[in-house]
Amino acid sequence: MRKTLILLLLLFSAKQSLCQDIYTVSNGKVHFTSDAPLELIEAESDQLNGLLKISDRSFVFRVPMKTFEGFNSALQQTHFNENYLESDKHPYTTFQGKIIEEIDFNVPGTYNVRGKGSFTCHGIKQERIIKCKIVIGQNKIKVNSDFTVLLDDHNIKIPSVVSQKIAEEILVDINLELAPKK
Amino acid sequence: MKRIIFTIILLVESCLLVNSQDLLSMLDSIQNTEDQIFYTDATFKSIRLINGYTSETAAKNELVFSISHRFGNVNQGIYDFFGLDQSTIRFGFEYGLTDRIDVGVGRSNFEKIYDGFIKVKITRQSTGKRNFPVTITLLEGMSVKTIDFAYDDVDYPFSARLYYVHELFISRKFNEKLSLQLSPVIVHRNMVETQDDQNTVGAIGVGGRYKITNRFTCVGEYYYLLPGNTADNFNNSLALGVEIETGGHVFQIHVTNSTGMTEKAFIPETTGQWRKGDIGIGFNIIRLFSLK
Repeated sequence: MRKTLILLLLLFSAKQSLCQDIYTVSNGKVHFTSDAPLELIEAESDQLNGLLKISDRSFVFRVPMKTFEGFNSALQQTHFNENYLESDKHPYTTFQGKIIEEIDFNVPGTYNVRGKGSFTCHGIKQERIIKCKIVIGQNKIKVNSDFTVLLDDHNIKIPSVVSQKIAEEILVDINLELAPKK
Repeated sequence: MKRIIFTIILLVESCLLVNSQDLLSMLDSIQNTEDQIFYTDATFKSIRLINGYTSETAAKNELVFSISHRFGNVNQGIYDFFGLDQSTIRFGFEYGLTDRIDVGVGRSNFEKIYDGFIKVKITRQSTGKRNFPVTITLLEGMSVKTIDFAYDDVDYPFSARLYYVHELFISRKFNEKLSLQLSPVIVHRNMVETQDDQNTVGAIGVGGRYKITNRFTCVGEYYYLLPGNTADNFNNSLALGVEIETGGHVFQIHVTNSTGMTEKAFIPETTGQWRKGDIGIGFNIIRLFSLK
């Protein structure tokens, strides 16, 4: 009987670490820049959320498009949601996939890894490999990454009138902190 | 003892269950947009529907410049080039004090009218934590007719030149394409042409837009005069048109049986009749400047 109990207690502690298996974003920021010949546009959202499962290194991150703020005018933000990203139809930009490198999340340190998966923006899915830097700390994982998104890849059409004001390639940088999911 | 074992098994089980869940659906449960308020944006492309306004206001520090033309009636034929030889114009500015309050001024060559107004978004259509079906905007305006009176031997007081308008715009964006607006309005005129005319005229406006593409929209607007002498002697204003958006510009091209572009002029004083062809071509060009 005692043995069974010990076994179960072991299982219970395993459960603890199992539950630590999933990390969730406690603080997530996305910032993008459109650097076109005639205009520089920047916007940011602090509502990037997501989950990382350590055991199989799978993850999902996403940001609601309507939470982007900044821009050069209120009209620009309206056009961003109405005409370009169509945020009512496609409310989120999502990146879901797996980390390629088999890193040990129990060893604190800085790792350069690649996330491979499907990047969905404006309802169009693209297979992407995105490089990022992971800093593993005590019960905390920091991730930051810079990458670009081609408007053409996601069927975001820019009328010729404003082609000098919106870049074809958008620079995105993300900064996030993960903590064990409660 | 058995109970303890049972509890532990249950705990382990529940944990394993969580782990087998799909990450995305797990994210759905933590990232719910229910606790946020999303205000409906861009119910209309601009502050003006056709002759009248929309529930939209200029955003904070935004200056909206609009220049409007109404040509003569198309039934005048080729001699007047289908009305294009005559034109009535109004130009105006609207400036956002906050995201919900703006003020505007305008000048029209129709009876040499100056107009000024304030628009206040009382409530906004929203989803999420706070769900509200409509946007309601109040317009309080005043205009001054500065054209010389026909009889200069009579000394009219200045107040005889004043007109007031009180209007509510109740709009709803049903989906990304369709938005409709109901606008009850009262126009008060201190002095009217004849004794039979009402000084205070009520009307109900209905209007809407349907987006064909992201930048091309069909619009319509109708003001129904509430029964009375004015309704008997004048016509309801009807305007139909299209809207083209290019960056910071909105071009509106339409046909209407009204000539004036201030509430005082197109709501109680429309004389043109659609079925007789008393309709004119008109356009509004609306340009937005950000003064941030």
